[in-house]
Amino acid sequence: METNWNQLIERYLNNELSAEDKAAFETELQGNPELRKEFELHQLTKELILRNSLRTLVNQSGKWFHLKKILINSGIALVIAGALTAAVYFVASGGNKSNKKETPELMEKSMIENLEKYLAFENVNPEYFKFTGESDVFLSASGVLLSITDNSFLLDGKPYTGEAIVQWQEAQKASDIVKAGLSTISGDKLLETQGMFSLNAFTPEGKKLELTKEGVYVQVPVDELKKDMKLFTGVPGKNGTIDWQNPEELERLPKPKNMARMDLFPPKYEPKLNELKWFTEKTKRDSLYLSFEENLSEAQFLWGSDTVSSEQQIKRSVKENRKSSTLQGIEKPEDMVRWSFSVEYLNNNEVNIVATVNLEENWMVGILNKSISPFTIPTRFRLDKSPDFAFVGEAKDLSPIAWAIDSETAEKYQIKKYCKEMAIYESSLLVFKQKIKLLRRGEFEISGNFSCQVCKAQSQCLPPYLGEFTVQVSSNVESNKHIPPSKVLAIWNKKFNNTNLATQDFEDRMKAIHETCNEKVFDVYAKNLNEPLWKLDQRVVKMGYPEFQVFADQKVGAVRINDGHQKNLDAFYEKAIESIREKGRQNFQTARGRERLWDTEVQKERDNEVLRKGLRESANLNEEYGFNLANVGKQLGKTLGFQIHNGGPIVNIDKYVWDATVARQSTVITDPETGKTARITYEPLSLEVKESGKYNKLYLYLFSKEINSYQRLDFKNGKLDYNLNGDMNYRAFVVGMNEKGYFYHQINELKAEDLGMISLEEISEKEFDKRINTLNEHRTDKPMSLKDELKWLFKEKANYTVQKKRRENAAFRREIRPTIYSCGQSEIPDNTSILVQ
Amino acid sequence: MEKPIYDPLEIKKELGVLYKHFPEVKRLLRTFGCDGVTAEDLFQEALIIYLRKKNDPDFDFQLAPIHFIKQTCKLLWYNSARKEQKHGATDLKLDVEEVPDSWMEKELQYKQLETALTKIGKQCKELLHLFYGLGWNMVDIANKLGMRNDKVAKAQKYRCIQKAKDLVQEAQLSFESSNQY
Repeated sequence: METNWNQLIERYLNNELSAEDKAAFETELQGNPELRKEFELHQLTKELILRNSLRTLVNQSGKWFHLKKILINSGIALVIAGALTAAVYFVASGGNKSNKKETPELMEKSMIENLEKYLAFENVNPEYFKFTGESDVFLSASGVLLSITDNSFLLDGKPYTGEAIVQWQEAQKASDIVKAGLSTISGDKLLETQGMFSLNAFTPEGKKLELTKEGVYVQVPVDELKKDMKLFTGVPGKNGTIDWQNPEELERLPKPKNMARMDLFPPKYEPKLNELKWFTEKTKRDSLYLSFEENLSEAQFLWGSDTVSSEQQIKRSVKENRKSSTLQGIEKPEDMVRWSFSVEYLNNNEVNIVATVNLEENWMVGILNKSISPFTIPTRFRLDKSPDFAFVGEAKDLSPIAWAIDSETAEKYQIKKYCKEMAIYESSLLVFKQKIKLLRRGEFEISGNFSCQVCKAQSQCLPPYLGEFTVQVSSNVESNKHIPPSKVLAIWNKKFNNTNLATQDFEDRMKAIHETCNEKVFDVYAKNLNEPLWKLDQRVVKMGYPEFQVFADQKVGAVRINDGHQKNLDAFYEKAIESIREKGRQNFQTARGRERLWDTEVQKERDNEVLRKGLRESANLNEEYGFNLANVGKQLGKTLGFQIHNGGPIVNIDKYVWDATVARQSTVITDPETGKTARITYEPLSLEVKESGKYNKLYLYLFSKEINSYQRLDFKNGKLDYNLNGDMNYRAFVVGMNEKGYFYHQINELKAEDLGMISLEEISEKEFDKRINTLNEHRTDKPMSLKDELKWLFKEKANYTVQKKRRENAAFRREIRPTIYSCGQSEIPDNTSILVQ
Repeated sequence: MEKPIYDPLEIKKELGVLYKHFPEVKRLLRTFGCDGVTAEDLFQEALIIYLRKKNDPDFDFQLAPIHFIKQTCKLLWYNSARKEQKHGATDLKLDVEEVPDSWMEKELQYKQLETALTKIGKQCKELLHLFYGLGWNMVDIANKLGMRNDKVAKAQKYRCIQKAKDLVQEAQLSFESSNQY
């Protein structure tokens, strides 16, 4: 009955009754004295309970007040010491708690006395810390760091989350150890110690707390990191000795670091970029880093299409020549010279690519890489650039040389002998060698091209002969070793936060991983997220990297992650590498596509220019011939029509005029029939351009009022000598071009004379275009259009800028490359000018 | 509804501050011949009274809390000294400025009766402290005290409160009978 009342009264007091029940209760309370008495007692008791509750709080407060004198308050900043290892760690166990009643006066003393019963080491002063119940870090007087979480303690086997008094003893110095009478014996073995520690924890009431599995994390600074230090548990034996048992591997927790703040680049990469004041954005630096990934493009291609070789131009025209010559069935160069290729293996991954040239008797080719008359092209032998190998010097000519036409040529080209005839090789078997260093492992092809022109006598030259070749090489060179940027970037992702990889410790290792240049070392860390770092360090040591022992000795553990999380990350890693590589490939292909497009455009303009030049020169010659013939005809008093129909002698006149026009020589022509004479005059023009060396291209455009075509004359070493037709009126426009722009000099009435030194003035592209067109258009009724010529010139000019940028990019890449490929491969050229940002 | 439950955190904080005055209170009481042990007893009692007084809605503090506590200590010492009759009450040179008012009279009765609760047993004491004093819910209390569930804790709470009531009633009776003399 009483219990029921208790419930009812409680519910009434807590306002839990319905209005109806409440009214009923109040009525009952009025009429039932027994209930009223009970109700009053209940209220009184409750009042007293509350009072007693306050007493408990006041009591606790008193205990803390007295403890405070010996407690060190927490709140230190967390600074992790670099070195760590606790040799011995001791958790005192056992001991009976006494629950004897304490008077407040005795409490301070008795509390301490109570706690000190648990001291593990005699004569070592304990330190006390007040743990508030929230995760916190404490630093002992000697610098030992204690990290306590709300999951550190157990009270009677159950998790304890309240306030606690932490008692800490340490004996690190030999003197402390001796003073404490501590032994360093494990069974019958003697231990070397780097310190002995004891930790106890108590509730504010003085109840002993046990440690959970997670326990308290202790980090001890040591002067010297000793290997194989283990953690022993001290078991008190008889006579107060302590036997150290259950050795356990010591682990330090990795220090977490947010991925956003990590630096996983090769150690020298960013310093170099900073030195070069390159962009600081991480995305740009990532992209650049990625662009150094090996094998971004499967297809081999010509690295660094810096110049579109002049051979290519010739090759096209030659191909046509060869076709026509085949049709006509005359002597073919390939019948007179045979090229063959072989590989000569040397030490140190070096090989010679050997070209052997067999010449038919009495046939000759030009000397390697030297332009000597009468050969229009020198003999050449070139390998296509490739990342698979690096050139070692230039191609060498091992053939016995040679003869030169004159002593000057002999001197210029360092030819041993000369004769009046021409330069020739002494033998009909020539050998050229190009030394290269192989950079890739496995079997692969090296391709190249060759060119030569075969001549028999001074005048009997066959068209230039060009060809391509490939040779097979096999190499056991170790593949370009480096940590693939795609892998590094794959883990450098916030998804890997809270793993081993997002720790200061991994960042430290990453520097060393880059130094190994071994992708497999990186994989060890990237693919074993659940293992302690020190175990992975040991694995790397076994792979042949003793330098990782230093890391292994640090005994850094693992950031614990669960299996599901691990699987997710593994899958993400694999996928990320692929997609990052793909991105790199795309960036690269896009950039390369742009380069190729540009090169194609430039090449097209150049091809057109070659064609145009031929057509123009031919038109020019014909027009001038026509002009001269008309002129001669006028002087001889004959009409052209008459001459053509009259046969014989006139052919002679035509021939003289033609020869004079081609040779641009003044000629007097006498008509054999009439004895009349006619004169074609050519008079010399000469001029020199000041500081001609600064122009990449230097031309004189010659516009005649008498013919529609114009002429483009080349300067030689800044000088021009040309014979002008004395019967024509000329205007001229000298143009020089370089990376900086256009420079010109205009001559409105050009006379055949020595103009001496002229200097060019800078002019804008637009103005240049306007002036030269004006000059061209106002001379005859139907001037030959300059449009395509100018288009070509402008393209060439633009190409200077493009090529300059490419050279700069290539130079930049050459500078950065060694920071990424740091393993003795600095001699590898990075020929690509492609810069991905 | 009854008096509001104290806010334990606030109280802990305030006690932390007030307790710092203990040394000076102890010195003060020593001048009256009080020993250290008793001094802390009185000081703690005075803290309890202060906290309860503070909770009285009719009460408006004229003094700084520590002065009230000192006054209370003197009063408590006067009372205990008179009871023990070590000295004649009149000999006591105690300058009690205020004669205990009715609230204080009652409070001293409570103090007397509260001693009955010391016999209640450890578990009941903790349970009642957690429930009434700190306002914990039954689930947490069951966890803390290692009981199977909150129902067990609740049943135990009624047993404890009954026990407390029995003890209080007993004390009340003996108090009344002793006062009859």
